[in-house]
Amino acid sequence: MAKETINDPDLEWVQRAQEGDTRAFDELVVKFSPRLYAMVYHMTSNRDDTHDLLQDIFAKAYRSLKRFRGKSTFYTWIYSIATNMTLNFLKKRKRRAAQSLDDVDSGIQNDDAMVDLRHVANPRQQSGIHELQKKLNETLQSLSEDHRAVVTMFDIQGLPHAQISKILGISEGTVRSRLYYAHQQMQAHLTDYL
Amino acid sequence: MTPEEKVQKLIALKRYEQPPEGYFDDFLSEFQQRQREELLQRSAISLGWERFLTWFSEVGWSKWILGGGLAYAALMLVFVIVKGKPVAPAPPEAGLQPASYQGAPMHSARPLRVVDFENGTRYRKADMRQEQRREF
Repeated sequence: MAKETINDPDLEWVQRAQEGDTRAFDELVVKFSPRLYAMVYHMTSNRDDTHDLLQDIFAKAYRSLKRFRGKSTFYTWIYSIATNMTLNFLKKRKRRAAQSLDDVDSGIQNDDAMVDLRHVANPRQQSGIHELQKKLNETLQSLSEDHRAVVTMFDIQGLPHAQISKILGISEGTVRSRLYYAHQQMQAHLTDYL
Repeated sequence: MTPEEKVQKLIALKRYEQPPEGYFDDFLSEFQQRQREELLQRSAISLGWERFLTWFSEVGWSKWILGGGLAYAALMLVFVIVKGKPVAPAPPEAGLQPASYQGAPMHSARPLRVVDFENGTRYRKADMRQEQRREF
């Protein structure tokens, strides 16, 4: 049986990084940090957490690089690392928040520092955008981590179902059903805007 | 447009959110700095171990033979060390009392014999009585 070949545009950089070329890995960091940042940010809704987590994700990927065998694309591989680490982080954060009565998710739901739409809007539009953004963040945070992950990947980042299923290690059917359920939940939250 | 499509369109607006300008340049610098620090902080043993694991993962199927050989050698080494140890004398047990939950022992230690070399082996009187009770 012929071995399935994966056309990975990053393979050359990956191989060079595996041979110890740190500049090749830097190239991969430059290429993937914006996409992974967005994924982690939409999952956590907190800039500081996103920054720390992203550093840890690339450090882990660097340490594990020798074990990358090319069974998937590098993008899928590093995205899986990022998703797993983010989901683990969110579980820990939830436990911490449950343990501490003082820590009531402060700054988690309303961190809007990433918005750049406000530069092009007038004051009235700005306040509307701010309000909408706050509502969208709250809506995303109201979903479970698993549902938020598929919404982030599909609706915000535009990844196809097949790739999401590979990253999360679930079937495409499960991806679709999670999306459907998440959309139903979000509709209830966003009725004023529909 | 269905409500679900409207929701998707709204949530897609989040893709325009961006971190501050120059963030990713700083991010790379910090990552490089952190990698260097991590490398300096790690001990020679952990680096050596990591290199061994990397080499081990690259040697292919022969690693199983090698791994088996190493495991056998380690086992034999442990065996030789344990076997070579001098045996410590057994601790005296005469003063030990059974724990309350253990109850009385089935057979208590036999009484010491008083050896009379002229008339043969005899028991002390008290010991003899105890011995008789045990036999009945």
